[in-house]
Amino acid sequence: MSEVVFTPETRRAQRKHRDFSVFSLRILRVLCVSAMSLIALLFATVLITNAQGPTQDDVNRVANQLYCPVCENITLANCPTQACIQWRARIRDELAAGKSDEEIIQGFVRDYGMRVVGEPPIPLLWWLPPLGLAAAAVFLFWLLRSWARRPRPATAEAESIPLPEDADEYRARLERELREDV
Amino acid sequence: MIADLGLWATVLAFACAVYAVAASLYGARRKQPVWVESARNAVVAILPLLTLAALTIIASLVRSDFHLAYVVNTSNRAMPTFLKVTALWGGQNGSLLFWSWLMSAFAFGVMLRKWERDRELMPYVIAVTMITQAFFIGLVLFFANPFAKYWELPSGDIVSAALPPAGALPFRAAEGNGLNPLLRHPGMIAHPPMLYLGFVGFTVPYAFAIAALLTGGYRSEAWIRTTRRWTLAAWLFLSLGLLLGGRWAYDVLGWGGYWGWDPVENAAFLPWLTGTAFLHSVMIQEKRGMLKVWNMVLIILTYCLVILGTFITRTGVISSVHAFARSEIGVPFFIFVGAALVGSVALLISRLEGLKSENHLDALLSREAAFLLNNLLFMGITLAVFWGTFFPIFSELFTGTKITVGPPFYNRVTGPQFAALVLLMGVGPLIAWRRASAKALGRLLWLPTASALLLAVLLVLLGVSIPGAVVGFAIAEFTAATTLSEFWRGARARQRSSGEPFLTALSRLIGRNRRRYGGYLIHLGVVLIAVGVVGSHFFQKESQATLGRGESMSVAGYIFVYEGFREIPPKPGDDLVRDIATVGLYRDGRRLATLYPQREFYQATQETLTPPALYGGRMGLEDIYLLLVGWEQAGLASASFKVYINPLVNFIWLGGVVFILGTLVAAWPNPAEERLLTPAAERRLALGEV
Amino acid sequence: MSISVQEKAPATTEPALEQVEAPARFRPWKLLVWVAVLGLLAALGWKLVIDRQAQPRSGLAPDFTLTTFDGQVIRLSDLRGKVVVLNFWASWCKPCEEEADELEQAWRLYRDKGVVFIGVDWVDTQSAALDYIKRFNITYPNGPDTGTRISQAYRIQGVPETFFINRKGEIVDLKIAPLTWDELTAKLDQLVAEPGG
Repeated sequence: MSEVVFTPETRRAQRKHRDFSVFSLRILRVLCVSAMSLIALLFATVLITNAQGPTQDDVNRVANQLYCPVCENITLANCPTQACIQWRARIRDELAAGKSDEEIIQGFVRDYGMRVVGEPPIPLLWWLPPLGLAAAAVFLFWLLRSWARRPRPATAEAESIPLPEDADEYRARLERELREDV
Repeated sequence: MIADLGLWATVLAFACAVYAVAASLYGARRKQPVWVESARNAVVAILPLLTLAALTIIASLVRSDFHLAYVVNTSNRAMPTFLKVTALWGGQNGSLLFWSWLMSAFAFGVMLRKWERDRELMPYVIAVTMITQAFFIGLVLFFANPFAKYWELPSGDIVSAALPPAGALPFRAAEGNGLNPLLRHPGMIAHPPMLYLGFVGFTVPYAFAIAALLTGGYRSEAWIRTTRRWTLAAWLFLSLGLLLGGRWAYDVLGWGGYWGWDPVENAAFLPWLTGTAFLHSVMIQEKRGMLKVWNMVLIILTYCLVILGTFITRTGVISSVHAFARSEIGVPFFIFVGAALVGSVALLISRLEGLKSENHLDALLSREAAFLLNNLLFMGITLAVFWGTFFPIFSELFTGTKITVGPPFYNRVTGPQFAALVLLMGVGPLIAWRRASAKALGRLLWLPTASALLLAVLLVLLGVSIPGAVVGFAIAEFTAATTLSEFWRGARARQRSSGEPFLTALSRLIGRNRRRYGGYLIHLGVVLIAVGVVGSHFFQKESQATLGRGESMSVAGYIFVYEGFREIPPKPGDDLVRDIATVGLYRDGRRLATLYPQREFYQATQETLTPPALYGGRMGLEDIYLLLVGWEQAGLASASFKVYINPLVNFIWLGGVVFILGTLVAAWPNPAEERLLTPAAERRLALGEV
Repeated sequence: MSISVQEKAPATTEPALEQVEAPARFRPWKLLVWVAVLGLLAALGWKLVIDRQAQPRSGLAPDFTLTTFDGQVIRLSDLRGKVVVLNFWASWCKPCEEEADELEQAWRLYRDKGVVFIGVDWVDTQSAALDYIKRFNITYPNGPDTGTRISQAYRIQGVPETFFINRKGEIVDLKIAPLTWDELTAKLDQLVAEPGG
């Protein structure tokens, strides 16, 4: 077994290695501490902001989408009754617990019925007006085309009205009217 | 006892109305004018009778006569006098009497007009208006009587009845309940009367339409011409009523907006929609004799929607914040609604063959087609609003689940249609009758279109990211540009031929074509309203916070500092406690104003109202709307405030003023116009007005 | 819509032909219009009738299942043979507080005589409801009316409302206001004395 010989080079190398490892260890330590402080800071921030709780605007954001189950046609955000105060408190609590807006709304629907939402998910409600309009538009278009195709009835106004083609129609018409003015 | 005087006056009025129906129909059947004249006299007599009846109620209210049940229910001693007067229409019974009174005034006016040209229509006009009149007076007398008084029975019970029960003694309450707190506002002076005038006013063109159907007068356009000003007046009142309602909601109710798509609001809006469609579509019938059936449909629909709307408002079949108290009028009202609907539809269908006219279109690109497109859009909006309003009833009946249809439905479904209407409003007046040349139209439209596109690009570059708003503003600008260009071109053309100075030419132009340019003014009013709606709908900002004394909140660059608080105890005899907060308004470091949002608490009914403090920021371009939130603790230490910033909302009220102006111009009688009613002159008029 | 063939014929016959064609074309529209009008009237009339329907004052009590705040499941039909006092309340309801004590005391007094008190919490929040129960030391079963199903079955118009159900499961009385001690005991004495179903 040969002795480990420490030549000046190896010693230098060893020292470098040692210095380097000490140095990197130090860096690592610094990094670890920084990372942990950062995490701690983030954690603290999250804790603090959560401790502040949802703002009144957050509550209103959800309350504006819900309607009071006992009053008539008024949103939870604008309702002054005691019951609505409790419901807004419930929204605040659920927001603080981390629920999303949608979850809170669904909870209200489950507990109080469909009338608490202003946009009931009933297809018939939403589809009838646009379909009705479309049907009427198709009908109107068909009707106008059939009227346009009809021959000009002979019983129309005897005086043929000149069809104005250019933008100075105003002037021509006004001049005519002024001349004929009673 | 003056209330008794009023009661008997109402009974007499009812008798006159019933008699007028019978006599006019008898006279028409037997062709004996003397009976029709007698009916006319009976109609004329109703106005003074109902005026007396209404005045007795007003007098009882002002004198706080708590023997009358209605006075107890709607008034108290502490209310200011103007509010006591408005209490006439503050409760169900009184407002029905008020309606009857307004109806009698309209009927009176109709009787006074010159009837020479349409003698044969008169008996049926009388009959239809008097059936409506008799119904409302009947409701008052038999189901919702404001003259009912309190009586103490020998058994000690207190009952209310119009006529004294046997052995009963008059009972006087010590104090009244007062008007519903929401109604204690100057808006009460104008909003309901305007609305009722609008509703009642549409009875007149409807009566003429029915009379035309019954007599064969539907073959000519006479019934439309004679009712044109009545229709315009009714339409103006209804429009004003709606605008005033919006303003009142904005000023008093404290939810930051002016239109909530509440069922009762929609009930008043529906006849306005069909009424506006009617106003436009009759122009086609006047010029071209087309669409006789459709115009009948529209006016019948308008009247029936008025009655239907009144029915759902007053009987509470659809839940609403505006609900009247439940009463007995539900069943008789339902019968009347049914009779009006079924009767009108049956009559129209029976006359369908005679009404069908030679509808002929020279080209698809024509004013006629544009008007029909206008009608299509209005009917589309009517369908959407009707469907959203009545759907909860259908849902509850068929599935048992109660649902609420809120603003998002209406905004999404009617928004694009309204935008299309505003666009059409800009293009339509430029399209010629019969056949328009696309080239000429293009020449007229390219500049407004370019300017609108430029505006759209500008808005996007400025950071407006909501497509609906960009489109809305662009369309509004387009229509404003085309409408203003109409004024410009007409005045210039006149100037060129007459050599007058521009302003004179403009005023003479408007003066000679009142109907047309009045209409354009109304369109400009609508554009302003559209701008206000787009601005306040898409760019509204809202924020709520609890502030300690001296703390501030910041919204959209404005800073609100909570400075002070005082509570004002109720005046003697009153139950109103007022909390007034003092808030300083700052922007860019400068103090702009001191605002005083209030909270009103009515101890008797435990109701809270939060009227906002309003301030016009940026020279009125944005409205600052500050509320002292009613339900949170409020005191010197801390109070909760809610702020809305409503951009451009004042354009709505401004648009309303322009609206009124335009309607006055359009409706103002033009003696020159009146003379030109020979067929030849009519043709000339058609040319001149085209 | 066919273009009239009478283009060469004199104008006067054109309208007549139009009229002859028309009735056949328009009949479906007439039907549609009448269906819409009569349908709407029927719906409105029906709604009027429904609105006038008040709470049931007699007949078999509508059955329901209630999950109490403790997790217990109660079914009304299982309580046949007992007298049931069904009370609708809410924590935000001030008048309900006036009868809360009386109801609890009556429960303690009558529970051994075969009387069951059930409290149905109407459109309320759980935390506020539990506070209310704790405040008045209520020990009889209470549960939330999820989905407002029970209150709709009993067509209540507000709170408090109390239904008295006899041993046969029939509603015998209803009080649409806070109950007084005398009313409560008088009614219960009467119901307890009745033979069971």
